[in-house]
Amino acid sequence: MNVVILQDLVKRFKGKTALSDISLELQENCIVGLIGRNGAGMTMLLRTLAGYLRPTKGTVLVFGEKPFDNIRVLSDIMYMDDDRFRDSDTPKDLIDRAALSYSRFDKALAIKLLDYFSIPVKARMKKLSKGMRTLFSLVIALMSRCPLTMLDEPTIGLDASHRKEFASLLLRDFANHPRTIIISSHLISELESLMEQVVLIDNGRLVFHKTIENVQRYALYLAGHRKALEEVAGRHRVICRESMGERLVLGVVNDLTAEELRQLEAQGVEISAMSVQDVCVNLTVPNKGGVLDVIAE
Amino acid sequence: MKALLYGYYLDFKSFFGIYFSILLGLIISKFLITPSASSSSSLNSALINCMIMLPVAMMVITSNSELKKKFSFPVDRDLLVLCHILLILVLPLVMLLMSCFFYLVELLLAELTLSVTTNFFYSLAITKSSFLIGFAISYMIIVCVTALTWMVSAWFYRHKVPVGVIGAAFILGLIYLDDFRDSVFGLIGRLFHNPTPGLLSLKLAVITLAAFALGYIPIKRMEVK
Repeated sequence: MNVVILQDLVKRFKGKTALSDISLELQENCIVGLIGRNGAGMTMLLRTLAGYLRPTKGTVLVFGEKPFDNIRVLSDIMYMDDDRFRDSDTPKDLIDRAALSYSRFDKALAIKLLDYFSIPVKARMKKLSKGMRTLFSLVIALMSRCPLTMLDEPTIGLDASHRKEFASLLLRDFANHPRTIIISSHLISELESLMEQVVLIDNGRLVFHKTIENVQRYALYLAGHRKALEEVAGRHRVICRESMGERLVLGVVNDLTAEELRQLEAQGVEISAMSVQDVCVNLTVPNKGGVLDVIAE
Repeated sequence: MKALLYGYYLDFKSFFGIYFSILLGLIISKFLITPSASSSSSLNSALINCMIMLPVAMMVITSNSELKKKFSFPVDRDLLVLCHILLILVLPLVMLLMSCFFYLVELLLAELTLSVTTNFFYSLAITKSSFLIGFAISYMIIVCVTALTWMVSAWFYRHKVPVGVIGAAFILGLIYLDDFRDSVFGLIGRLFHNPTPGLLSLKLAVITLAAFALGYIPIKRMEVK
Protein backbone atom coordinates (compact mmCIF):
# COMPACT_ATOMS: atom_id res chain seq x y z
CA MET A 1 0.00 0.00 0.00
CA ASN A 2 1.23 3.51 -0.80
CA VAL A 3 1.32 5.79 2.21
CA VAL A 4 2.28 8.86 0.20
CA ILE A 5 1.29 9.67 -3.36
CA LEU A 6 2.45 12.89 -4.99
CA GLN A 7 1.39 13.72 -8.53
CA ASP A 8 2.89 16.74 -10.28
CA LEU A 9 3.16 18.58 -7.00
CA VAL A 10 3.94 22.27 -7.36
CA LYS A 11 4.34 24.58 -4.40
CA ARG A 12 4.95 28.27 -4.85
CA PHE A 13 5.96 30.23 -1.82
CA LYS A 14 6.46 34.00 -1.70
CA GLY A 15 6.58 34.19 -5.48
CA LYS A 16 9.19 31.44 -5.77
CA THR A 17 8.63 27.90 -6.98
CA ALA A 18 9.79 25.81 -4.05
CA LEU A 19 8.60 22.44 -5.36
CA SER A 20 8.22 21.73 -9.03
CA ASP A 21 6.36 18.83 -10.66
CA ILE A 22 7.20 16.23 -8.04
CA SER A 23 5.64 12.83 -8.58
CA LEU A 24 6.47 10.20 -6.01
CA GLU A 25 5.03 7.18 -4.26
CA LEU A 26 6.18 5.89 -0.90
CA GLN A 27 5.11 2.51 0.37
CA GLU A 28 4.23 1.61 3.92
CA ASN A 29 6.76 0.28 6.42
CA CYS A 30 10.00 1.60 5.03
CA ILE A 31 12.61 4.14 6.07
CA VAL A 32 13.13 6.80 3.44
CA GLY A 33 15.98 9.27 3.38
CA LEU A 34 15.03 12.64 1.96
CA ILE A 35 18.24 14.17 0.71
CA GLY A 36 19.08 17.50 -0.82
CA ARG A 37 21.13 20.63 -0.44
CA ASN A 38 20.09 23.47 1.85
CA GLY A 39 17.04 25.16 0.35
CA ALA A 40 16.34 22.27 -2.02
CA GLY A 41 12.74 22.06 -0.82
CA MET A 42 12.89 19.12 1.60
CA THR A 43 11.28 20.96 4.50
CA MET A 44 8.65 22.38 2.16
CA LEU A 45 7.85 18.88 0.95
CA LEU A 46 7.59 17.50 4.49
CA ARG A 47 5.39 20.40 5.59
CA THR A 48 3.12 19.84 2.63
CA LEU A 49 2.83 16.17 3.58
CA ALA A 50 2.18 17.18 7.19
CA GLY A 51 -0.77 19.30 6.12
CA TYR A 52 0.87 22.58 7.08
CA LEU A 53 0.93 23.87 3.53
CA ARG A 54 -1.57 23.64 0.71
CA PRO A 55 -0.16 22.53 -2.65
CA THR A 56 -0.30 25.19 -5.35
CA LYS A 57 -0.89 22.56 -8.03
CA GLY A 58 -0.95 18.80 -8.27
CA THR A 59 -2.10 16.12 -5.87
CA VAL A 60 -0.87 15.21 -2.41
CA LEU A 61 -2.38 12.11 -0.88
CA VAL A 62 -1.39 10.64 2.47
CA PHE A 63 -3.17 7.39 3.37
CA GLY A 64 -5.32 8.07 0.31
CA GLU A 65 -6.57 11.47 1.50
CA LYS A 66 -5.51 15.09 1.23
CA PRO A 67 -3.62 15.98 4.42
CA PHE A 68 -4.34 19.73 4.47
CA ASP A 69 -6.74 20.46 7.33
CA ASN A 70 -7.70 16.78 7.57
CA ILE A 71 -7.66 15.63 11.19
CA ARG A 72 -8.19 11.95 10.26
CA VAL A 73 -4.94 11.95 8.32
CA LEU A 74 -3.07 14.26 10.67
CA SER A 75 -3.76 11.96 13.61
CA ASP A 76 -1.58 9.37 11.87
CA ILE A 77 1.21 11.77 10.95
CA MET A 78 4.09 12.89 13.12
CA TYR A 79 6.20 15.71 11.73
CA MET A 80 9.12 16.73 13.87
CA ASP A 81 11.56 19.53 13.27
CA ASP A 82 13.79 21.43 15.66
CA ASP A 83 11.32 24.15 16.62
CA ARG A 84 8.18 22.39 17.76
CA PHE A 85 7.63 23.33 21.36
CA ARG A 86 7.14 26.47 23.40
CA ASP A 87 9.99 27.49 25.67
CA SER A 88 7.65 27.57 28.64
CA ASP A 89 6.46 23.96 28.19
CA THR A 90 7.97 21.16 30.23
CA PRO A 91 8.77 17.69 28.85
CA LYS A 92 6.18 16.23 31.23
CA ASP A 93 3.43 18.51 29.87
CA LEU A 94 4.38 17.67 26.32
CA ILE A 95 4.48 13.93 27.01
CA ASP A 96 0.97 14.23 28.46
CA ARG A 97 -0.20 16.12 25.37
CA ALA A 98 1.38 13.57 23.07
CA ALA A 99 -0.36 10.77 24.99
CA LEU A 100 -3.67 12.58 24.52
CA SER A 101 -2.99 13.25 20.85
CA TYR A 102 -1.68 9.90 19.60
CA SER A 103 -3.52 6.70 20.37
CA ARG A 104 -0.38 4.58 19.91
CA PHE A 105 1.90 6.80 22.02
CA ASP A 106 4.05 4.71 24.39
CA LYS A 107 4.17 7.00 27.41
CA ALA A 108 5.91 4.54 29.73
CA LEU A 109 8.77 3.94 27.32
CA ALA A 110 8.99 7.65 26.53
CA ILE A 111 9.49 8.45 30.22
CA LYS A 112 12.09 5.68 30.52
CA LEU A 113 13.97 7.09 27.54
CA LEU A 114 13.89 10.62 28.96
CA ASP A 115 15.30 9.23 32.17
CA TYR A 116 18.00 7.35 30.23
CA PHE A 117 18.98 10.50 28.34
CA SER A 118 18.96 12.44 31.65
CA ILE A 119 16.34 14.89 30.40
CA PRO A 120 14.66 16.54 33.39
CA VAL A 121 10.93 16.14 32.85
CA LYS A 122 9.92 19.11 34.98
CA ALA A 123 12.38 21.64 33.57
CA ARG A 124 11.13 24.16 31.06
CA MET A 125 12.18 23.53 27.46
CA LYS A 126 14.20 26.76 27.39
CA LYS A 127 16.40 25.37 30.18
CA LEU A 128 17.34 22.31 28.13
CA SER A 129 20.43 22.29 25.92
CA LYS A 130 20.05 22.12 22.15
CA GLY A 131 21.02 18.44 22.19
CA MET A 132 18.53 17.63 24.93
CA ARG A 133 15.73 19.41 23.08
CA THR A 134 16.56 17.42 19.96
CA LEU A 135 16.64 14.16 21.91
CA PHE A 136 13.33 15.01 23.53
CA SER A 137 11.77 15.76 20.13
CA LEU A 138 13.03 12.44 18.82
CA VAL A 139 11.61 10.55 21.78
CA ILE A 140 8.21 12.17 21.22
CA ALA A 141 8.39 11.52 17.47
CA LEU A 142 9.36 7.87 17.74
CA MET A 143 7.12 7.00 20.66
CA SER A 144 4.09 8.44 18.86
CA ARG A 145 4.35 5.37 16.59
CA CYS A 146 2.54 7.23 13.84
CA PRO A 147 2.16 5.26 10.59
CA LEU A 148 3.86 8.19 8.86
CA THR A 149 6.68 9.69 10.90
CA MET A 150 8.68 12.53 9.38
CA LEU A 151 11.89 13.71 10.99
CA ASP A 152 13.31 16.94 9.62
CA GLU A 153 17.03 17.16 10.40
CA PRO A 154 16.66 14.87 13.43
CA THR A 155 20.28 14.90 14.53
CA ILE A 156 20.88 18.65 14.72
CA GLY A 157 22.74 19.43 17.93
CA LEU A 158 23.40 15.79 18.82
CA ASP A 159 26.89 14.61 19.63
CA ALA A 160 28.33 11.52 17.94
CA SER A 161 27.32 9.09 20.68
CA HIS A 162 23.77 10.39 20.81
CA ARG A 163 23.53 10.18 17.02
CA LYS A 164 24.56 6.55 17.28
CA GLU A 165 22.02 5.90 20.01
CA PHE A 166 19.33 7.62 17.98
CA ALA A 167 20.08 5.30 15.07
CA SER A 168 19.89 2.22 17.31
CA LEU A 169 16.65 3.43 18.90
CA LEU A 170 15.09 4.17 15.54
CA LEU A 171 16.02 0.80 14.07
CA ARG A 172 14.85 -1.18 17.10
CA ASP A 173 11.59 0.72 17.34
CA PHE A 174 11.04 0.38 13.61
CA ALA A 175 11.64 -3.38 13.85
CA ASN A 176 9.12 -3.68 16.68
CA HIS A 177 6.59 -1.28 15.19
CA PRO A 178 7.06 -1.04 11.42
CA ARG A 179 5.86 2.17 9.82
CA THR A 180 6.91 4.66 7.17
CA ILE A 181 9.63 6.95 8.42
CA ILE A 182 10.95 9.81 6.32
CA ILE A 183 14.23 11.29 7.51
CA SER A 184 15.48 14.48 5.98
CA SER A 185 19.12 15.02 6.69
CA HIS A 186 22.42 16.31 5.41
CA LEU A 187 24.40 13.68 7.36
CA ILE A 188 23.98 11.14 4.60
CA SER A 189 26.89 8.90 5.55
CA GLU A 190 25.61 8.47 9.10
CA LEU A 191 22.08 7.71 8.05
CA GLU A 192 23.02 5.42 5.16
CA SER A 193 22.72 2.36 7.36
CA LEU A 194 19.16 3.37 8.32
CA MET A 195 17.69 4.16 4.93
CA GLU A 196 15.97 1.66 2.72
CA GLN A 197 15.09 4.19 0.05
CA VAL A 198 16.52 7.53 -0.99
CA VAL A 199 14.61 10.46 -2.40
CA LEU A 200 16.95 13.08 -3.81
CA ILE A 201 15.67 16.60 -4.40
CA ASP A 202 17.43 19.50 -6.03
CA ASN A 203 16.04 23.00 -6.51
CA GLY A 204 12.53 21.73 -5.76
CA ARG A 205 12.72 18.99 -8.38
CA LEU A 206 12.87 15.26 -7.82
CA VAL A 207 16.23 13.93 -9.01
CA PHE A 208 15.53 10.30 -8.18
CA HIS A 209 13.74 7.91 -5.87
CA LYS A 210 15.69 4.66 -5.53
CA THR A 211 16.40 1.90 -3.07
CA ILE A 212 19.60 2.38 -1.10
CA GLU A 213 21.18 -0.60 -2.90
CA ASN A 214 20.53 1.05 -6.24
CA VAL A 215 22.03 4.32 -5.04
CA GLN A 216 25.07 2.48 -3.73
CA ARG A 217 25.50 0.98 -7.23
CA TYR A 218 24.46 4.17 -9.02
CA ALA A 219 27.87 5.56 -9.90
CA LEU A 220 31.56 4.70 -10.04
CA TYR A 221 34.77 6.61 -9.61
CA LEU A 222 37.25 5.95 -12.35
CA ALA A 223 40.76 7.21 -11.69
CA GLY A 224 43.53 6.91 -14.22
CA HIS A 225 45.32 8.44 -17.17
CA ARG A 226 43.40 11.18 -18.95
CA LYS A 227 43.79 9.48 -22.34
CA ALA A 228 42.14 6.26 -21.17
CA LEU A 229 39.26 8.02 -19.47
CA GLU A 230 38.34 10.74 -22.00
CA GLU A 231 36.92 8.08 -24.27
CA VAL A 232 34.80 6.69 -21.40
CA ALA A 233 33.58 10.20 -20.66
CA GLY A 234 32.25 10.44 -24.20
CA ARG A 235 30.20 7.27 -23.89
CA HIS A 236 28.80 7.56 -20.37
CA ARG A 237 27.14 10.20 -18.26
CA VAL A 238 29.77 11.98 -16.20
CA ILE A 239 28.54 13.44 -12.90
CA CYS A 240 31.85 14.73 -11.61
CA ARG A 241 35.28 15.33 -12.98
CA GLU A 242 38.54 16.26 -11.33
CA SER A 243 41.90 16.46 -13.03
CA MET A 244 45.39 16.64 -11.64
CA GLY A 245 47.82 17.02 -14.50
CA GLU A 246 47.51 13.96 -16.69
CA ARG A 247 45.61 12.07 -14.03
CA LEU A 248 41.84 12.26 -14.26
CA VAL A 249 39.16 11.20 -11.81
CA LEU A 250 35.73 10.72 -13.31
CA GLY A 251 32.48 10.00 -11.57
CA VAL A 252 30.26 8.19 -14.07
CA VAL A 253 26.81 6.71 -13.88
CA ASN A 254 27.29 2.98 -13.51
CA ASP A 255 25.95 1.64 -16.77
CA LEU A 256 29.29 0.18 -17.78
CA THR A 257 29.31 -3.37 -19.02
CA ALA A 258 31.48 -6.05 -17.42
CA GLU A 259 33.60 -6.02 -20.55
CA GLU A 260 34.20 -2.26 -20.33
CA LEU A 261 35.16 -2.56 -16.68
CA ARG A 262 37.59 -5.36 -17.49
CA GLN A 263 39.18 -3.27 -20.25
CA LEU A 264 39.53 -0.24 -17.98
CA GLU A 265 41.16 -2.34 -15.28
CA ALA A 266 43.52 -3.69 -17.90
CA GLN A 267 44.45 -0.07 -18.78
CA GLY A 268 45.34 0.58 -15.14
CA VAL A 269 42.21 2.56 -14.28
CA GLU A 270 41.26 2.35 -10.60
CA ILE A 271 37.55 1.64 -10.18
CA SER A 272 35.67 2.23 -6.95
CA ALA A 273 32.03 2.62 -5.99
CA MET A 274 30.81 6.13 -5.35
CA SER A 275 29.41 6.57 -1.84
CA VAL A 276 25.76 7.50 -1.43
CA GLN A 277 26.83 10.87 -0.07
CA ASP A 278 29.02 11.55 -3.11
CA VAL A 279 26.25 10.49 -5.48
CA CYS A 280 23.85 12.92 -3.83
CA VAL A 281 26.41 15.72 -3.73
CA ASN A 282 27.51 15.25 -7.32
CA LEU A 283 23.99 15.07 -8.70
CA THR A 284 22.97 18.28 -7.00
CA VAL A 285 26.07 20.36 -7.57
CA PRO A 286 25.14 23.88 -8.76
CA ASN A 287 26.15 24.87 -12.29
CA LYS A 288 28.44 27.63 -11.15
CA GLY A 289 31.69 25.86 -10.40
CA GLY A 290 32.89 25.26 -6.88
CA VAL A 291 33.72 27.51 -3.98
CA LEU A 292 37.40 27.28 -4.94
CA ASP A 293 36.58 28.90 -8.29
CA VAL A 294 35.16 31.88 -6.40
CA ILE A 295 38.40 32.22 -4.45
CA ALA A 296 40.45 31.79 -7.63
CA GLU A 297 38.53 34.63 -9.30
CA MET B 1 -9.61 18.52 21.10
CA LYS B 2 -8.66 17.28 24.58
CA ALA B 3 -4.96 17.64 23.82
CA LEU B 4 -5.45 21.10 22.37
CA LEU B 5 -7.49 22.28 25.34
CA TYR B 6 -4.90 20.78 27.68
CA GLY B 7 -2.24 22.73 25.76
CA TYR B 8 -4.17 25.97 26.17
CA TYR B 9 -4.76 25.19 29.84
CA LEU B 10 -0.98 24.93 30.27
CA ASP B 11 -0.47 28.15 28.30
CA PHE B 12 -2.97 30.12 30.36
CA LYS B 13 -1.89 28.93 33.80
CA SER B 14 0.68 31.70 34.05
CA PHE B 15 -1.80 34.17 32.52
CA PHE B 16 -4.19 33.60 35.42
CA GLY B 17 -1.24 33.80 37.80
CA ILE B 18 -0.54 37.31 36.52
CA TYR B 19 -4.19 38.32 36.83
CA PHE B 20 -4.37 36.89 40.35
CA SER B 21 -1.24 38.83 41.35
CA ILE B 22 -2.63 42.09 39.93
CA LEU B 23 -5.89 41.76 41.86
CA LEU B 24 -4.11 40.74 45.05
CA GLY B 25 -1.66 43.62 44.68
CA LEU B 26 -4.51 46.11 44.18
CA ILE B 27 -6.35 44.99 47.30
CA ILE B 28 -3.27 44.92 49.49
CA SER B 29 -2.09 48.31 48.29
CA LYS B 30 -5.57 49.76 48.78
CA PHE B 31 -5.82 48.62 52.37
CA LEU B 32 -2.23 49.56 53.17
CA ILE B 33 -2.14 52.95 51.50
CA THR B 34 -5.62 54.46 51.71
CA PRO B 35 -7.53 54.95 54.96
CA SER B 36 -10.88 54.48 53.27
CA ALA B 37 -12.47 52.37 50.59
CA SER B 38 -15.41 53.81 48.77
CA SER B 39 -15.56 51.22 46.04
CA SER B 40 -14.34 47.73 45.27
CA SER B 41 -10.89 47.82 43.70
CA SER B 42 -11.23 44.27 42.40
CA LEU B 43 -14.54 44.93 40.65
CA ASN B 44 -13.37 48.27 39.32
CA SER B 45 -10.15 46.92 37.97
CA ALA B 46 -11.60 43.69 36.57
CA LEU B 47 -13.03 45.30 33.45
CA ILE B 48 -9.88 47.31 32.71
CA ASN B 49 -7.58 44.39 33.43
CA CYS B 50 -9.60 42.07 31.22
CA MET B 51 -9.77 44.68 28.46
CA ILE B 52 -5.99 44.88 28.44
CA MET B 53 -4.92 41.31 29.17
CA LEU B 54 -7.37 39.45 26.98
CA PRO B 55 -6.74 41.39 23.75
CA VAL B 56 -3.00 40.93 24.30
CA ALA B 57 -3.60 37.20 24.82
CA MET B 58 -5.65 37.08 21.60
CA MET B 59 -2.85 38.79 19.69
CA VAL B 60 -0.46 36.15 21.00
CA ILE B 61 -2.57 33.05 20.32
CA THR B 62 -3.29 34.06 16.73
CA SER B 63 0.36 34.78 15.87
CA ASN B 64 2.10 32.53 13.36
CA SER B 65 4.69 31.28 15.83
CA GLU B 66 2.09 30.29 18.43
CA LEU B 67 -0.11 28.58 15.89
CA LYS B 68 2.89 26.67 14.58
CA LYS B 69 3.50 25.32 18.07
CA LYS B 70 -0.12 24.23 18.28
CA PHE B 71 0.33 22.24 15.09
CA SER B 72 3.04 20.17 16.81
CA PHE B 73 0.21 17.83 17.66
CA PRO B 74 -2.61 16.90 15.29
CA VAL B 75 -5.18 19.63 14.95
CA ASP B 76 -7.31 20.97 12.15
CA ARG B 77 -8.30 24.56 11.67
CA ASP B 78 -11.95 24.09 12.69
CA LEU B 79 -10.85 22.57 15.97
CA LEU B 80 -8.41 25.39 16.50
CA VAL B 81 -11.06 28.05 15.95
CA LEU B 82 -13.47 26.18 18.20
CA CYS B 83 -10.82 26.14 20.94
CA HIS B 84 -10.19 29.85 20.45
CA ILE B 85 -13.92 30.59 20.73
CA LEU B 86 -14.09 28.51 23.90
CA LEU B 87 -11.15 30.49 25.27
CA ILE B 88 -12.84 33.78 24.38
CA LEU B 89 -15.97 32.65 26.22
CA VAL B 90 -14.32 30.99 29.21
CA LEU B 91 -11.35 33.24 29.99
CA PRO B 92 -13.44 36.38 30.75
CA LEU B 93 -15.80 34.30 32.85
CA VAL B 94 -12.97 32.89 34.95
CA MET B 95 -11.39 36.32 35.26
CA LEU B 96 -14.65 37.92 36.35
CA LEU B 97 -15.28 35.11 38.84
CA MET B 98 -11.79 35.67 40.24
CA SER B 99 -12.62 39.37 40.57
CA CYS B 100 -15.83 38.51 42.41
CA PHE B 101 -13.90 36.24 44.74
CA PHE B 102 -11.53 39.10 45.46
CA TYR B 103 -14.51 41.37 46.02
CA LEU B 104 -15.60 39.01 48.80
CA VAL B 105 -12.07 39.00 50.20
CA GLU B 106 -12.17 42.78 50.09
CA LEU B 107 -15.48 42.87 51.95
CA LEU B 108 -14.07 40.56 54.58
CA LEU B 109 -10.97 42.70 54.97
CA ALA B 110 -13.12 45.81 55.28
CA GLU B 111 -15.28 44.18 57.97
CA LEU B 112 -12.16 43.07 59.83
CA THR B 113 -10.65 46.54 59.60
CA LEU B 114 -13.87 48.12 60.82
CA SER B 115 -13.99 45.76 63.79
CA VAL B 116 -10.54 46.82 65.00
CA THR B 117 -10.58 50.52 64.17
CA THR B 118 -13.08 53.32 63.88
CA ASN B 119 -10.69 55.36 61.79
CA PHE B 120 -11.82 53.67 58.59
CA PHE B 121 -14.65 54.29 56.17
CA TYR B 122 -16.03 51.74 53.76
CA SER B 123 -18.99 52.27 51.50
CA LEU B 124 -20.13 50.10 48.68
CA ALA B 125 -23.50 50.39 47.04
CA ILE B 126 -23.85 47.10 45.23
CA THR B 127 -27.15 45.27 45.31
CA LYS B 128 -27.72 41.70 44.19
CA SER B 129 -29.53 42.75 41.00
CA SER B 130 -27.04 45.51 40.09
CA PHE B 131 -24.24 43.02 40.69
CA LEU B 132 -25.80 40.37 38.43
CA ILE B 133 -26.60 42.83 35.64
CA GLY B 134 -23.15 44.37 35.96
CA PHE B 135 -21.56 40.95 35.82
CA ALA B 136 -23.52 39.92 32.74
CA ILE B 137 -22.96 43.18 30.85
CA SER B 138 -19.28 43.29 31.81
CA TYR B 139 -18.88 39.71 30.64
CA MET B 140 -20.53 40.44 27.31
CA ILE B 141 -18.52 43.61 26.72
CA ILE B 142 -15.27 41.82 27.52
CA VAL B 143 -16.18 38.86 25.30
CA CYS B 144 -17.12 41.22 22.47
CA VAL B 145 -13.90 43.24 22.69
CA THR B 146 -11.84 40.03 22.97
CA ALA B 147 -13.60 38.50 19.96
CA LEU B 148 -13.03 41.67 17.91
CA THR B 149 -9.33 41.68 18.82
CA TRP B 150 -9.08 37.99 17.95
CA MET B 151 -10.71 38.63 14.58
CA VAL B 152 -8.47 41.59 13.75
CA SER B 153 -5.34 39.66 14.87
CA ALA B 154 -6.36 36.59 12.86
CA TRP B 155 -6.56 38.77 9.73
CA PHE B 156 -3.50 40.83 10.59
CA TYR B 157 -1.05 37.91 11.00
CA ARG B 158 -2.23 36.33 7.73
CA HIS B 159 -2.37 39.60 5.70
CA LYS B 160 -0.05 42.02 7.46
CA VAL B 161 0.29 44.65 4.74
CA PRO B 162 -3.37 45.23 3.76
CA VAL B 163 -4.65 44.98 7.34
CA GLY B 164 -1.82 47.20 8.56
CA VAL B 165 -2.55 49.84 5.92
CA ILE B 166 -6.31 49.81 6.60
CA GLY B 167 -5.71 49.89 10.38
CA ALA B 168 -3.23 52.74 10.14
CA ALA B 169 -5.54 54.70 7.82
CA PHE B 170 -8.43 54.17 10.25
CA ILE B 171 -6.42 55.35 13.26
CA LEU B 172 -5.00 58.34 11.38
CA GLY B 173 -8.52 59.18 10.23
CA LEU B 174 -9.74 59.11 13.81
CA ILE B 175 -6.92 61.41 14.88
CA TYR B 176 -6.85 63.93 12.05
CA LEU B 177 -10.27 63.90 10.34
CA ASP B 178 -12.90 65.47 12.57
CA ASP B 179 -15.83 64.46 10.37
CA PHE B 180 -14.65 60.87 10.18
CA ARG B 181 -14.07 60.72 13.94
CA ASP B 182 -17.51 62.23 14.64
CA SER B 183 -19.24 59.80 12.31
CA VAL B 184 -17.44 56.76 13.82
CA PHE B 185 -18.20 57.81 17.38
CA GLY B 186 -21.72 58.77 16.31
CA LEU B 187 -22.25 55.32 14.89
CA ILE B 188 -20.98 53.68 18.07
CA GLY B 189 -23.13 56.02 20.11
CA ARG B 190 -26.25 55.22 18.09
CA LEU B 191 -25.51 51.52 18.35
CA PHE B 192 -25.29 51.55 22.13
CA HIS B 193 -27.45 54.58 22.89
CA ASN B 194 -29.46 54.14 26.06
CA PRO B 195 -30.45 50.55 25.51
CA THR B 196 -31.93 48.17 28.03
CA PRO B 197 -29.47 45.58 29.37
CA GLY B 198 -31.23 42.96 27.25
CA LEU B 199 -30.97 44.97 24.04
CA LEU B 200 -27.36 45.85 24.76
CA SER B 201 -26.58 42.16 25.37
CA LEU B 202 -28.26 41.26 22.10
CA LYS B 203 -26.24 43.83 20.16
CA LEU B 204 -23.02 42.69 21.81
CA ALA B 205 -23.85 39.05 21.06
CA VAL B 206 -24.46 39.84 17.37
CA ILE B 207 -21.16 41.72 17.10
CA THR B 208 -19.37 38.86 18.88
CA LEU B 209 -20.84 36.25 16.54
CA ALA B 210 -19.92 38.37 13.53
CA ALA B 211 -16.35 38.64 14.86
CA PHE B 212 -16.18 34.85 15.28
CA ALA B 213 -17.40 34.32 11.72
CA LEU B 214 -15.00 36.87 10.23
CA GLY B 215 -12.03 35.60 12.26
CA TYR B 216 -12.72 32.03 11.14
CA ILE B 217 -12.07 32.87 7.47
CA PRO B 218 -8.32 33.64 7.59
CA ILE B 219 -7.58 30.83 10.05
CA LYS B 220 -9.45 28.29 7.95
CA ARG B 221 -7.40 29.25 4.89
CA MET B 222 -4.04 29.78 6.59
CA GLU B 223 -0.90 27.79 6.01
CA VAL B 224 1.27 26.99 9.01
CA LYS B 225 4.53 28.85 8.47
